[in-house]
Amino acid sequence: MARVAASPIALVPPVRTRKRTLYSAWTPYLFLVPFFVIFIPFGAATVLGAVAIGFVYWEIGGDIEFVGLQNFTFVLRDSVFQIALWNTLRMFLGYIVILVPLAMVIAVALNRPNLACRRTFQVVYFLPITMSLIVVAMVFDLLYDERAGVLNAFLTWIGGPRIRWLEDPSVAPWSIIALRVWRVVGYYAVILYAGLQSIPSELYEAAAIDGANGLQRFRHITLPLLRPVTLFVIVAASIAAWELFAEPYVLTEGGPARSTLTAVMYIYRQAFLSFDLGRGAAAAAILAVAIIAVTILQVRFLRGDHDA
Amino acid sequence: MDQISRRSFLVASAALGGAALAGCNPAGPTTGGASAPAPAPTKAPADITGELTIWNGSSQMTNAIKQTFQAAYPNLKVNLVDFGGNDLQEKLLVALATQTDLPDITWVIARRAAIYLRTNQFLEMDDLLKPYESRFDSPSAIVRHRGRIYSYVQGPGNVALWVNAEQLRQNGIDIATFTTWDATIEAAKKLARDSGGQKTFLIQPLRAIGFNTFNTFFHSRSGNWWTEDGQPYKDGRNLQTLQEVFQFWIDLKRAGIAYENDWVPPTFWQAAREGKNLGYQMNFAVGANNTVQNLPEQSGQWRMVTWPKWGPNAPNQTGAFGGVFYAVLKNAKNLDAARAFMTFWLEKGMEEQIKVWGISNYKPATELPIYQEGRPFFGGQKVQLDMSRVPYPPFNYWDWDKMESEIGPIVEQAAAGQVTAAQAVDLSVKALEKIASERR
Amino acid sequence: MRRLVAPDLVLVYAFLVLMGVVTLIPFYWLAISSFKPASDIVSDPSLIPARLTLENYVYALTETPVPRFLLNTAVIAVGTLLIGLPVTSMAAFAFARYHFRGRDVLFGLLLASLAIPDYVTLIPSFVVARLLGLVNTPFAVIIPLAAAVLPLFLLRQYLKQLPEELFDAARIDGAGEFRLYWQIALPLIRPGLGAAGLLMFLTAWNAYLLPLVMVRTRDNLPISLGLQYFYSSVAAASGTDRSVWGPITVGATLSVVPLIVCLILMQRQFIAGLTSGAVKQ
Repeated sequence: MARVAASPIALVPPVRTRKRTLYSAWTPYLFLVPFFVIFIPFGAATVLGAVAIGFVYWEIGGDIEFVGLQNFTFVLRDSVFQIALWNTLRMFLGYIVILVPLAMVIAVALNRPNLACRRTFQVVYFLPITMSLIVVAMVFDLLYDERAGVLNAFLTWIGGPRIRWLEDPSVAPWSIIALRVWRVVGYYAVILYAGLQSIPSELYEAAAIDGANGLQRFRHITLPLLRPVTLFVIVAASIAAWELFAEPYVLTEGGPARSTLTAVMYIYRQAFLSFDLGRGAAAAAILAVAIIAVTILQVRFLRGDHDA
Repeated sequence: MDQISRRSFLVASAALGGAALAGCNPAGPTTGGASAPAPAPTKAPADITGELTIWNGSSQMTNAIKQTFQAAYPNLKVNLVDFGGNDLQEKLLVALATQTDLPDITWVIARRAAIYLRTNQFLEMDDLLKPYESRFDSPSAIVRHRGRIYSYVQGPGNVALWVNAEQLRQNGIDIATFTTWDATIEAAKKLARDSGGQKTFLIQPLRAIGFNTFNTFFHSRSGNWWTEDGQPYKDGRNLQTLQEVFQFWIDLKRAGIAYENDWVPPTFWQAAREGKNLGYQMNFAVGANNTVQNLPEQSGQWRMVTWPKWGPNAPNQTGAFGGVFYAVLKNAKNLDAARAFMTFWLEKGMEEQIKVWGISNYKPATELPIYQEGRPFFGGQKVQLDMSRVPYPPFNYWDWDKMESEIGPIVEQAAAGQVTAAQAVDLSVKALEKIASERR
Repeated sequence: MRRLVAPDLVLVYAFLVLMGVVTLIPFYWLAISSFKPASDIVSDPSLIPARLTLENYVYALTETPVPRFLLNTAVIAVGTLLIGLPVTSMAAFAFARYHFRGRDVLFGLLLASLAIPDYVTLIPSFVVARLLGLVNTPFAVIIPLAAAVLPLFLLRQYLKQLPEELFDAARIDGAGEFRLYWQIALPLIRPGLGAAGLLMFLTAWNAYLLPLVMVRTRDNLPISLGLQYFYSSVAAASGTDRSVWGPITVGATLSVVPLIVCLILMQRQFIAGLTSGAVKQ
């Protein structure tokens, strides 16, 4: 795992340092110590512990028995897990494809010179992520309700069809994606906007003088210089998407007919509803391998040939 | 990550009622003790000391414990931890798995009893509770695992049909005709026809709540998914019943005469206020409390119809959502206090228990004044007494988490017309076998 | 053609306002609900309420543990920020600015740890917290959240962009390595610090699972769990008990305020100071 996982780090071309002798070999480690003092017990140990649980049968309140790969073979053969993984992949793709460009457009719009109320807009876009999911669920219930919901009232008003937002298995995943995008798009936009702030405005001015149009400036200045932050947003949003749980749990419980059952929901059910910690942990480890593999592919793809 | 779940709706709605029983003014001495069996020997209240930690899932019961149990045991320090039923589950799993910081007593959702009791972490209480056994009106009220008694169910969550009789009458429907489901469905169809599909008095919820609602129908027909010892119940008549219930569910959906949503969301009450929703099938606590709280302006118009029969000659019985119970941990530090707690709700605390849950399985409860009171909201109907006359058959909850996630989708598929009733039965049997085979 | 890609200000405004309205409606509904009479919150879900009142605020702030929940949350979030930001930025500095053995593998492992969902690390986390005697203290939540990988990742991305010549020059002038971090790197990545701090604060503010297992008494609950606590009673009453929806809408509205304050602070302190092109080097 370590070898594979090593890749996403080369997100940005490494800075060539010629004068390694300028600092002591111990310096970097000293900077790392405070973080790892915390991370080793609370991050590394707990993750390793979780992976280890995947190899045991943990009888709650009883013995812990090593069972080898038994949990893994069970989970891999479980058709429900396959469905959950497939749903997760589909929703992940739909989500990323909608979310990232939208967040980028908002960030660029926010960065437009001579814009008034810039901060107000940011605050407004940031609001959804700050709202308690309990309340969000309540609001979206009212929004998505088939008979009395606001959305269908609007659709009926413009002469459209009534849509079964959460009841139709082919629509429900999209309703969940829409909710999720609504919750986080402003937040990622604010992060991207902060990234745009580090791009010196002189670059744009110089480009404008050279006659570069908006698209050219976006392609040749914004995109490359924002790439480190964009990569962060893509990786963070992707991992969150892979671990999609709260929204479908709250709105659909994975239904109807398992159409919104996600991998983490499967893990949750195994561990916390069925008290089967081993199978839950095994499923989590399998999901982690999938996440790491796809993230590496993503990063490779995004880096393209621009590196150098 | 911050999250909630619909399960908390279900859990609590299935089990408990609203805050106070509006219209109830319980008076008189606390009863129950007089007619109860010889209580198992416990210490005198003043001798019960120390601390008792209870993990609780209902704020109403928390208040009841503070006000009555704590008051009755002044020398005991009751340490109540109330997280809401849903969070309790996650907390309890961590505590059970790590064997640390466990409480003396915890609240358990009865549907999930097997998964907890299987852990072997709970104290069997045969000696304490056996004397009370015969005084419960249903075998399902006793929490049993592998032949041992662990507790008794509070607020069994048995269902009835709650209707606005007055508005139904104005729509030309007499609730006296609701004796069988056939007649009831006919009336619902007529109501839908006459109102252009606007009005209904039945609900057909979705998801886990939908599955549990479906299950109340199955339960009310003496159906069972599992045998007592947790094997798939493949008896031919039982499966025939299951197929009929699937067919009933499919027909109900196809007819489009039921309000379809989660349980009873705000929109449900809105529609009720607008005269579109004229009733719903619901457990006692929610039916008797929430209707009153949400529709005060319809006071006097509502009635409780006990569960319609499945045929003219079928028995008069209902189904249930299961209720909750309190279980004592094996390693409880204060066993005396824990035992006192377990019998308290059958002795001095019965009235308080009824205030929270609305109704009890414990037969001496019917002698309480609450049972004899007509409720103005229901036109003077003695809803508790009427409800207590309708039994519900024994029901075996096994692997209910898996049932909701495995059989739930089958019920959804059937409702969506993707499988027939017969296919749904086949799929269900396969799912039951899968669940049984995955146990370890 | 040029205008099509870099739309004129009117189009930008139209887009921003439209997005704003879409994002704002649910929050507006929440905020306005908290001013409705408790009995109306559920029964009258309209956006333009018939009656407004402060009774929910008075009730929630005086008779329920909502203020306590908010205080607990603030302790967790501020504590996480105070420990987390220095710790993660130092580590990010090391990963971004130095070459050392195993650097890339180590960083890859850090990122890989994100792929394991919280739910399965919950029990190991509890065991560790218990071994260290942290259970039922705010530190059981603060410390694990302070070693946050995502903010570290974000900070590293910013630090990587700084030109090496800057540091070399400072070194030649005799600056120590810690000074490079503190006086040169950090001021130059203020937008990044702001964004990472916001991310950290937000995560801590909304933390749910960790406090769920670490907190043992109601008085120590953060607002995320506190709302759940009320919500469970809502479930009991299925939506109308006045003692329930009042505190929930008030608690949810109030819990948004510190996050907004945090965002505004970040804008003022971190982003605004930079627009003059300070980073250009």
